[in-house]
Amino acid sequence: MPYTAEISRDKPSCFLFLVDQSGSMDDPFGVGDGITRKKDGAVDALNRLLANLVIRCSKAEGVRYYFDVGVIGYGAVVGPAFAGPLAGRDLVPISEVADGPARVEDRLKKVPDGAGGLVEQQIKFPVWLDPVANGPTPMCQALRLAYSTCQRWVDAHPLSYPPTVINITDGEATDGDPTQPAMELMSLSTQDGNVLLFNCHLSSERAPAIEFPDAEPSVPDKYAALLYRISSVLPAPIRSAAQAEGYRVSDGTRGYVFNADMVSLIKFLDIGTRASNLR
Amino acid sequence: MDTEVCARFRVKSIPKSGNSPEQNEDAYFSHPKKGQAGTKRGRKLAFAVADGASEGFRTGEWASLLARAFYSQVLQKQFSWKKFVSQARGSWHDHETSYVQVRTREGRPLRWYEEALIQAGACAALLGLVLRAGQEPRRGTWEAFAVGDCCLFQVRGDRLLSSFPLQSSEQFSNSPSLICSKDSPGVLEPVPERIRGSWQAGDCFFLLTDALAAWFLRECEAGAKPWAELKQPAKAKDDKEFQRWVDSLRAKGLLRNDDCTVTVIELKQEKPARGNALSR
Repeated sequence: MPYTAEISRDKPSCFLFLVDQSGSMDDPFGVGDGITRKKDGAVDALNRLLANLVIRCSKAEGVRYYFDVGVIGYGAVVGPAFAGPLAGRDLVPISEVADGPARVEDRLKKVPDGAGGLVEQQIKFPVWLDPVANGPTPMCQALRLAYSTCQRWVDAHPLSYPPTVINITDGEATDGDPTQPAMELMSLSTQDGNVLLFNCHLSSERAPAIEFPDAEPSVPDKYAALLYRISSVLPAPIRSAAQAEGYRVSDGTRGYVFNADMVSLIKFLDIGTRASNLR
Repeated sequence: MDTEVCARFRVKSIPKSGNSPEQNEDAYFSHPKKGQAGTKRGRKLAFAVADGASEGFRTGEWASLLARAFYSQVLQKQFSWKKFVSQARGSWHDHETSYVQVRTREGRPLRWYEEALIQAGACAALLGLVLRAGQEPRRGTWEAFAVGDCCLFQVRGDRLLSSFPLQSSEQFSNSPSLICSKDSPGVLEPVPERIRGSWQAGDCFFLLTDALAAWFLRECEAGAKPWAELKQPAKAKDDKEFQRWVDSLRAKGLLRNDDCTVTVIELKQEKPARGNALSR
């Protein structure tokens, strides 16, 4: 059965993030205060995805090498986008990602106080990427770079769980229709299955969040249908995990979210037991 | 004459393939001195196995603390589950605090992800068994407590009498309910499953962590008698025999690659208590 390869230090998997850094990302994000820009939403989503991935791989002795991780930015330039000590590198073992954020900020997070209210708790927030919004949206070029990066990786890891590519964008490709390069990317495979392409769509439209739909989303954003169509159908093991986390899924559920982050996706990964009573 | 429970036990515990024994997040507690094997006698005997979640801060140590704490608490006159969990959390908090202090003193402050792990806490499954002597010799009652997917199986002769808390291999998942080291808002407090039964001399109990328990139930569902197959490697004096057996099941794809722990407990004909020997 595909997508069942154990993710282990002997057979790591791969996460590749594509982050839209085009000028349109400077526009306000359709969620929250109306001041936050999409570029801030994008890097927040990415930094949180990376932090959660690191935490899931952390053990008493350090961070286990379960993943190679890369970030490709696309805007005025297309290429590796880590800031700080990892700048210029394409795929990096997760243990190096853990120890290599550009900086670690102190932030306040609202957590339940147990009496129906919220209290602020100070947390460490690692930052690997800063907001950028400049230039066109060469999404096709980014998908082609993802293709060559993943191709090298699958050749070197034929037995591993296949790479997961997460594209964080507002959807406005300026270098053509991304369908073809997306399909080519999803045609790459290891023996365990094809490369998975998930899209995290940040829109300026003030519409409710949609997570993992199984039909073209009816939202007032003309790019939603396209991004939905170039998102992989969730494989059965991820679907079951999503269901266990309370998501309504069907055979057609795709890895697409609208005005939401994809942090829940990290919970769906089978890298061991976690408590169901932790939310 | 006061009756006693007389039980011979042996524990085997090995890490998932690719991990070192120190990375084994399963834990057990059967006796303060006898460790992995021996014979115990008494009016009330206790055993525990626990399984730390893959995710979290030093979950193997939390599992170990829980197994030990359960053992000592359940042998008290009055056992309260709430008190047991609360005391275990208190001990864990002290353990965590001193760990952080040592790291700071050594000039190795916690990394950002270690702080996040500590904030989230550690979680583990726990299965505890108490055997009580009855009015008549060679018989008695038992009681078990479970949170999560470690399982107990009671076998009499050629028959499986009890399967607790899970009865089907389909009930296993990657997200069981677990006991967490923190009583924080947003964490639902799991209620332990409880069961009572009776035992007689000759009965055999198996306490298994999840991967082995899932194999056990799958075999039962296929009409096999897995206890017969498990008993030999579990009771072998040589740990290597158990390792070889587990390796062969893993190689055949019959056993998930996970830490594996079994405590096998055989109820014996009790020997006369000291002081009664002459009166016989």
